[in-house]
Amino acid sequence: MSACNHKALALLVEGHLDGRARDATVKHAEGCAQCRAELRRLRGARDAFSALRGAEAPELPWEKMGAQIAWQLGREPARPRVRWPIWALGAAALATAALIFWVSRRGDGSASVASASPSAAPAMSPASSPGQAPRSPEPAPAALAAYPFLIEEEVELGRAGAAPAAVAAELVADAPLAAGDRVRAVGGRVGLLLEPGTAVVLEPGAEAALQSLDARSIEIALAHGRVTLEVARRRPEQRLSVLAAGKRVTVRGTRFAVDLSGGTLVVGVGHGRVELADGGAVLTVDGGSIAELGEGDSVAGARVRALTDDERADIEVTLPLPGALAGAELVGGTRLLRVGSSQAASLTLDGAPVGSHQALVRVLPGRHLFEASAGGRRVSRWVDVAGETGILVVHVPAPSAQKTAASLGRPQEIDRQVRGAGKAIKACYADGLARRPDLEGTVLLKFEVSSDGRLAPVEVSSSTLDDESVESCLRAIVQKWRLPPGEPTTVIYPIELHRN
Amino acid sequence: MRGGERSDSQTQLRAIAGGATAPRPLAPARTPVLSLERERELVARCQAGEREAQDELYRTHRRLVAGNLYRVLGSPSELEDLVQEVFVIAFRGIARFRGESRLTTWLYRIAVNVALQRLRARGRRREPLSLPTGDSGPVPVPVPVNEETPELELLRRHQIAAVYRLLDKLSPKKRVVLVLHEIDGLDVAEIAAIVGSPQVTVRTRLHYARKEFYRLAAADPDLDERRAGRREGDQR
Repeated sequence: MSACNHKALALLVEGHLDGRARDATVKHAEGCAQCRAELRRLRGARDAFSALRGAEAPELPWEKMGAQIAWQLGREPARPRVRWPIWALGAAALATAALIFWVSRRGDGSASVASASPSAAPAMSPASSPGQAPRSPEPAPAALAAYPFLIEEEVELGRAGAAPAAVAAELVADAPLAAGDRVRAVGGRVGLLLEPGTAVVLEPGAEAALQSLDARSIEIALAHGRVTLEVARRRPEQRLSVLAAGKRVTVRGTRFAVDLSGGTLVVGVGHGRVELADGGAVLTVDGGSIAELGEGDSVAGARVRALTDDERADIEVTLPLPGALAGAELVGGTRLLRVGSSQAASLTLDGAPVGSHQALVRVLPGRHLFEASAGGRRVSRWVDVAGETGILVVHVPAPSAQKTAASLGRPQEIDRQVRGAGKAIKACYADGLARRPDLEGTVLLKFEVSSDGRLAPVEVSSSTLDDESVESCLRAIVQKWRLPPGEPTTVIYPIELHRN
Repeated sequence: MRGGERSDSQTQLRAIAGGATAPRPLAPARTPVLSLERERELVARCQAGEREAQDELYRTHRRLVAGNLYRVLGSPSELEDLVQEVFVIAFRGIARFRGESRLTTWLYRIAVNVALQRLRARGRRREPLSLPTGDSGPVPVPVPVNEETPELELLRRHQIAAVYRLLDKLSPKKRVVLVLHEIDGLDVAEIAAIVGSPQVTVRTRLHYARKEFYRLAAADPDLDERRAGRREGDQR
């Protein structure tokens, strides 16, 4: 035998040869050293497969992995429309522990559903009237500090009531804020951790002052813009309020948000309950409702309606909270992670949105999933934040191949090449159809174009054709292309093949 | 010498032919971890968002998922990340699990997709082969258990390393169906359910995968039992 019959040898090793074919192959191999060598190799492969059938993965840090999985899941965006009823039925405690509150000023509020009603709750004490810090009874409560945990773009900071001025994000992130400090979010959000599990996020453009910040009372005076708050379970004597447009919004649960801009005040509550008060009346706004007050309106004249889905989604956006740490534990137990993308993209860290271009986020050590989405493409990166890591810079491009190519003026040339290769592409497809008459689908070819217009090896990025032969044929056609010189580019080109 | 070799070869040939009809052992990974009733109850609790149920699902299925990824990829590197990725995907999508397949099959499907993504990324980055040649320290490949002697174990390690080097040369799709069939012991219908392709497609892909693999294997001296034995001596 000048060359061994690989197929027959493989069938023999697999036990799929019978009768005369088997005898003939065995007999030939007995007299052919090359075939015997090939048989030994094939048997070696088969033995390796057999040995692998019992192979298990090595021991892994299962508990740590489980904790990281749970942690990621706990921070992924809530899906209230799916889980809401189950949560509501399953745990009344959860319902009371989860309060989302949103206040905004709008000019076009129209009330239709009055699910909130004037409350029978105790009226505010004179000490806590809107715009004023509560009188602190003796002994003086312990002062708290607010720790920035998210800075998406830029931040301005004014100490002790001074007007905010631009400060480097890294400096702000490491400097706890105290009562009297003022913060303005420029371009992106700024998140401040007030207590374990309690945070306020200033939306872009918002400016607020930490009017009071101690164990008994947290008051955030909103100058303008919108803030969103998440509040952990608090003791009855703990008060957390947002002061806006002469009104006080007091939280009776674990999470709330405040937004102030324009002449209208709007208070929306995802779930839980908040109190909206001025000097004379108290309005309780229940979950799923939104209350609107025009400029100069009293609380008694508030219009109340149901939240829309979009409004509810805005309220319930997940925050990238760094666990249940606060204070010095937060600084010692977390690290700063800077993430960004090379172009505008929707950025998320562990499922929580963190801006559209860059963000400085305080995170727990461990593994974090960073994702950037743009133009229908998503880039995911696992980021290891180790104990000794200070700041990690991760630039994730948001690839949009066709767009990149368009910016270089190459798509017309690509289209021209495709038209020129029409016959060859049809021939590839015809070969495939001869084997599989029902063959059709789309092949996404991906290739890198160098500055001189040459193509790196063409790959099949994805394919619904599921035919290696046709895919390979198409790859070979594209591989021959030469494109105009320009900036190195990655191109993804779809080729659709349909029988008609 | 020549006669001795021939006699030995004949023995091997007979052994191959005679052992061909031996049934392939059922892959342990295929066996569902829980009873169907218990599985449904656990899934329902997970779908209700019960954290304890998620923990239990993770505890009971983590080795199955890790084993599948390990056997497909042939390397422990990034296994920790990938196992986590599988469960994060699973828990995020458990609301869509309707019980039309066993939970193990569903998890296998996610694991295979994660492995495919990893293999494609590996190909795009043109990474060096994940398996070293064995000349520099231990070979990090799936280790068979219950080998009779250290020599046999070493031989097996070399053969397994060679197998994964060859698998690296196949396309990710071919590699997956070949591993699921030859190593995990799944039949075409089971593989089709896992990879989400028609059975005829899987059968065709498996045919070409085996053809390509055995063509490569026949030419790879590292798989040769005798040569592997000599390499062992050479290295020591």
